[in-house]
Amino acid sequence: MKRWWQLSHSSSQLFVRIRFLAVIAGIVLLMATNNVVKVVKYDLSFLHFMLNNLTASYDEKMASKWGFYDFLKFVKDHTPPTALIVHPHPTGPWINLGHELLLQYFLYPRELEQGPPGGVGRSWMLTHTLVAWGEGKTQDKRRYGWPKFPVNVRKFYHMPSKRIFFLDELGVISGDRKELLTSSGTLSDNYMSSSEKEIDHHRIVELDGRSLEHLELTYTQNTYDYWTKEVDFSLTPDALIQVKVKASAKHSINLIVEVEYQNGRIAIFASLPNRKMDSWELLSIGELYSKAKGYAQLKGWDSREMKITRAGVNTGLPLPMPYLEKYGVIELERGQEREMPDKRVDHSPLLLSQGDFYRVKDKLEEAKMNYELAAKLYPASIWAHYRLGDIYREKNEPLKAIAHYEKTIELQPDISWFHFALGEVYREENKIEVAKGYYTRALELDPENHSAKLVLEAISKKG
Amino acid sequence: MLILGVLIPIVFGFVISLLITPEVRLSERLGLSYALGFGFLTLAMFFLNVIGIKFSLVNTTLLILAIIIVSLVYLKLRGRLRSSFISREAPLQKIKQNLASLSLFEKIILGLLVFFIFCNIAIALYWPVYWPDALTTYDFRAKLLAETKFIPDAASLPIAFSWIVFEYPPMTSLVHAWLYLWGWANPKIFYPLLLISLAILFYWSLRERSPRYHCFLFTLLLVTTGYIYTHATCAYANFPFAFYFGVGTIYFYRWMLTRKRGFLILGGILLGLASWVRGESELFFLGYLAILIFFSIRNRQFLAPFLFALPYFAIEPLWSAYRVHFLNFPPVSVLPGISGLLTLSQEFLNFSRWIKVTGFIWENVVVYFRLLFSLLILTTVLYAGEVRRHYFLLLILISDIVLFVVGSFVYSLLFPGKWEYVGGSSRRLFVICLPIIWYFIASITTKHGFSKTERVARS
Repeated sequence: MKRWWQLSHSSSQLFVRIRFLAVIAGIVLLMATNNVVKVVKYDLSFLHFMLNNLTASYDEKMASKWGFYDFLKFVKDHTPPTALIVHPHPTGPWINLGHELLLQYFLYPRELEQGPPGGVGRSWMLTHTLVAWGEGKTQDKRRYGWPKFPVNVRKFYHMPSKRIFFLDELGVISGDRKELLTSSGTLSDNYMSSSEKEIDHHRIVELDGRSLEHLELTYTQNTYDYWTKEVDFSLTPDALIQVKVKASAKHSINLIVEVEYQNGRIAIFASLPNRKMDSWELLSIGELYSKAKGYAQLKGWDSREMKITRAGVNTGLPLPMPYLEKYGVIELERGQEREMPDKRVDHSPLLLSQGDFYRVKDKLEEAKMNYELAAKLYPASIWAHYRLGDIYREKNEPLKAIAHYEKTIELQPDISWFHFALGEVYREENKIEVAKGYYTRALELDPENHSAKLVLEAISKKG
Repeated sequence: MLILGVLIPIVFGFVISLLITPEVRLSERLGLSYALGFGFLTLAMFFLNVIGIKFSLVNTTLLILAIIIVSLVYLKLRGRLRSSFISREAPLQKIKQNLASLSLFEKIILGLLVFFIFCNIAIALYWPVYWPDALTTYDFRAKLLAETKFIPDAASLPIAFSWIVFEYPPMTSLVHAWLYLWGWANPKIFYPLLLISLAILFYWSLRERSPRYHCFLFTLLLVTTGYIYTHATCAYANFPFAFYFGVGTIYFYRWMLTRKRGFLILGGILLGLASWVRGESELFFLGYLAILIFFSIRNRQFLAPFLFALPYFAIEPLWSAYRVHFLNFPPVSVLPGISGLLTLSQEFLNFSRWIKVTGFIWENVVVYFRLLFSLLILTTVLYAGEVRRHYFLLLILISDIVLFVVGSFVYSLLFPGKWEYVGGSSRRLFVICLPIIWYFIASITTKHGFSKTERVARS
């Protein structure tokens, strides 16, 4: 028996046809079109790159997907497979670069440890530190850059960074003689260097009727890189060496001069670094005679008949903190075996590195001596002063520690950690208000300085 | 040499498919061979490790060859090794004939399918593994496995979060490792070929009772569904999981329709392999088992639940047991266990939580797949008469959706601070239901009979 809701045969056929048209010919085809459009869009997002880069290598493809791929490849190329690398916390600008599982994929078989804040496990086994500026669009530039704490650097490899220099009027005045070195050919880089670089340009250029020495260098490692010219001057009390420089980066170049003593030993003295970017400034080493004499006294050398044997510039001056190079990897000084340096030549980078070596070996006296000598040859060596501050703090000589930390701040007022270190000495001396001032300044310079944050919180809790 | 890395598993799978089910067409069998081949290959690699042997190319290939030979001898002795599974007509001739019989609409759909699958292969092969989780978990583990050829050695390497890296079941990593061992620089070839396999198996599963244009159309819809298509170009485990789960479910249902025993065993095996890819299949399988028991009692098929459950439970616990007993990692279970369930049971009456969880699923899953859900509801209403014919398929689908909600609820209890932030993961898990939803819609909307051109071709 037919029910009231059941359709007649012809009505039923009509319903089936309408339903077919509505569902299959209508909605399903519409969905198929929708799917097809979406899939085509998806395909196009890949095919564009593919068609333009048909023969792209694995590295090129990965670099197009992971912005930091080239950096991690660089790290891999500059670390041994046995390395234990400390990396930033996966927060803020380091959400990817601190992601241990992600780093592990790209850096395997190197092992990884998360760095401060939060403490470092296996700290005694660490061999390298990642240097990472960070990603993202945070407006506050102070939040970028890792690590912002001092690291015992043995060698710092960073992503290629270009430095452009113009040199003018490099001259030596000593006694009656005056020699303008830039007018007699270019400087030579085959003297002493601890760097890895590409020389993009090195030539004499004419600018406003003047002949300038133009250098374009791309560094991946620069502990020091001396470009010099041989000279032969007796060192007299009125000796003055100077050069006019224009550099593409602040704190990237300084003037150097080589002094040879009667015993055949050599010391290289250095000027303050350039403080400006893209504008001319004069670098000079005044009172070289008294400095050289003072150095000879410290070393127990005869200071009679000192000679100026070379003059030039150090274009490989490291930036004040590694993170300012943005991306790289630091090989840590762990007291490992080192190449024997040329014992005839004393210069600040070598003495600083020897100081670091003795420091990790817990030979504080030898370390202190090397740092002091480094500071004599290069009075603007912030790390020599900072390390001396550390050593005096360890030796419980707060006044000397304060003096050296203050010197680092004078030389580099924008580095948060130096203010924090000084705050720590004052806190140990129970000068809490003074300490608070330094901690606050440290936090102003680096809002991510967790150490400063923690201490300030502890101080405010104590009341 | 590279091609052997793909051919050996296919041959292996072909022989296994002959053992399980003699009643399928050659193209369907090829689709099955690929899926079964890689599944059983990885199980073979795993068992080599269990008995303390490294799964080097030689060891694994020898083991597979031995299994193939023994299987062929068995098939020969049982008289099941006939050439009947290969068409007597020349294959090219047959393909030509079939193509000639296609209507314009079918040709367009087939052309689109071929085009998209070609694009999918090109994208998958061109781009290396780069999606984050694919890198950090599946492919990283694969590289360790290819290096050591021994799971315990790989797990004991000094790597960070090894318990996370070795948490998920190992199938896709073992597939990558196998392909790496054969010299493939990019193991992603596995995924688009699995997409082809999905298209073939889905098409032939529908073709039994639907006209050709209908099968082509719904195969295109399935293949071009966002999460299916895009995930076949990356190396996440979600697509293989959806493949094994979806195809396993379809074979399970096809057994209900045809009572061909091989389909039931295939269903159990493929669902077992789904658990070999990811660990979230337990709950859904229990739902299926309940439906099957109901079906078996109604149809007096009392052996069926055992045939279905046996292969699943032979595969499902392998990885979790291995992790605990061989790798010494703490146990990981998606289900909280009986005592856990008892504790959690009080929370089951917490209606505000239910509302929160369903709201979460609505936002992250239903809204995302709104077109598909709308079509599902519309067709279910409009084709109510046909739905009655596919009553058990509807039951399967409802069980999947209900258990998805229940699973999400349990997850919210187990991970109170985390569950609200995993919308993407929830959506990716839901991908397992997509082949089943499309199969359901295609099955109920099918117009019985054949298209005009097809009638001509058949005549």
